[in-house]
Amino acid sequence: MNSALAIENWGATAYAPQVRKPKSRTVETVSMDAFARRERVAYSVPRVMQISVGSQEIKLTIEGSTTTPLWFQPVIDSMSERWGALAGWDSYDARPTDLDHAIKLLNYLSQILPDKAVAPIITPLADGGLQAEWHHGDKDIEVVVPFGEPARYYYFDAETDLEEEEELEDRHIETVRNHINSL
Amino acid sequence: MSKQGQACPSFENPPVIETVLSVQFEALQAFSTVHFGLFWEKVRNRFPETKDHPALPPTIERQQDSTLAARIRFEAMDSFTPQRLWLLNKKNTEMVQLQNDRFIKNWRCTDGNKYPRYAASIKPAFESDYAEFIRFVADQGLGEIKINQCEVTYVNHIVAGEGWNDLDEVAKIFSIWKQAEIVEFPGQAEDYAWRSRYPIFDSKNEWVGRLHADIQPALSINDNKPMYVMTLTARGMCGNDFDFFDIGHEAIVKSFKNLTTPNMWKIWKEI
Repeated sequence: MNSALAIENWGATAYAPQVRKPKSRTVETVSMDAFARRERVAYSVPRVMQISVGSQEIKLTIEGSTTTPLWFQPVIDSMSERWGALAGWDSYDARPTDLDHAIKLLNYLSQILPDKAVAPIITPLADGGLQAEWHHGDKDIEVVVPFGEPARYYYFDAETDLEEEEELEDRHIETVRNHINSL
Repeated sequence: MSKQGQACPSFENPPVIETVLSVQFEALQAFSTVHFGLFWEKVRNRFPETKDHPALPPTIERQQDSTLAARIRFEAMDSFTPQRLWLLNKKNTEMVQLQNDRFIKNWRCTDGNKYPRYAASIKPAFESDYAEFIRFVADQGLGEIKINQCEVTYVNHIVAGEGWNDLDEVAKIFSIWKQAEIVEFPGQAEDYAWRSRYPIFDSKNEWVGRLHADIQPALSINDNKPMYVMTLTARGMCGNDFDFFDIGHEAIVKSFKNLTTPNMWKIWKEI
């Protein structure tokens, strides 16, 4: 790591790094393969992995942890099992599941879900989009990424009769997270 | 860190060498490579130079983020790498950075140009250029801009020769370091680096973002003088549009003063 890289990661991209050079290589030289490395997390160093979803490849970048969140593998499994690979996968006129929309849903989930959140079931939509669903007791939550339309969320609590349906904008992330935490 | 209390400090000769104001918004899906060129045509007389860079990933501060909270991002393997365009003025003192979910404005100190002040110049210059971008987005029918994060960054070069000489003299520069007694092992450190994060609260004491402080040793490329690079980044969101800028700027200047020593304030000529 050098100071220019550090600024790129931390700030909104200063362009002055060319007027200085890093004083020391200390940060690089301490990264020898020490045994204790497994007991700590270098939270500023991203790891890049490749994963398969419905026979397609997705690049995953993870920062702040050496492991993926608990919801991650069940979501990938659910998405892969239900992936609509071919047109008409629902025996009607469904479009194949669209990779870009799957990625969009995964990125929403990574913003919304705490590491230990209950994993949703992933359901492909006939228009090529996808949705994540939680059905627990009296509560239903859906995060929907329809093809070519803005993402939205739906929440219903049968016990209180509370119902919400909104476009999923950043200001709603906290609300949806709270609903999921309440399951 | 809230708005109450300490008055906003000011220095006649602050060591700031770059400022950055950035707004991040929900990605404009219709924004494509061709729009970089179309926007450049609008501002080319003021920003005649361009450089291509990969886009910055979206970054949002969240209150419950702990240091160890994982941040994960998914992308298609074969996807086109999103682009960021630098538009630079002739003197290389100002720059606009553009990508489909960010608009960034930088000011940089070069020989002879003094820090032009946030309220008098930095923020108005951002507002003017951002208004141009908003008009462009509307004219091109690229959709509505929904800002989800604002960022203020100040980069300071604290160069040896004024109040300190060697990189081991950090206690002369930064109040966060208290010189401990030097013992045989590990002995006197040659230099130091520091990173810390602080919550930012608004006047109602509501959490609105986070301040990142980063201090790294470096050498000036021009004259090989040792320096400490102190970067303060305030990132968050409150109210509408870029209301956060003022809160972020205030957090930065007050923190800058409190993280440095009275000895250095004299050198930078506190007003």
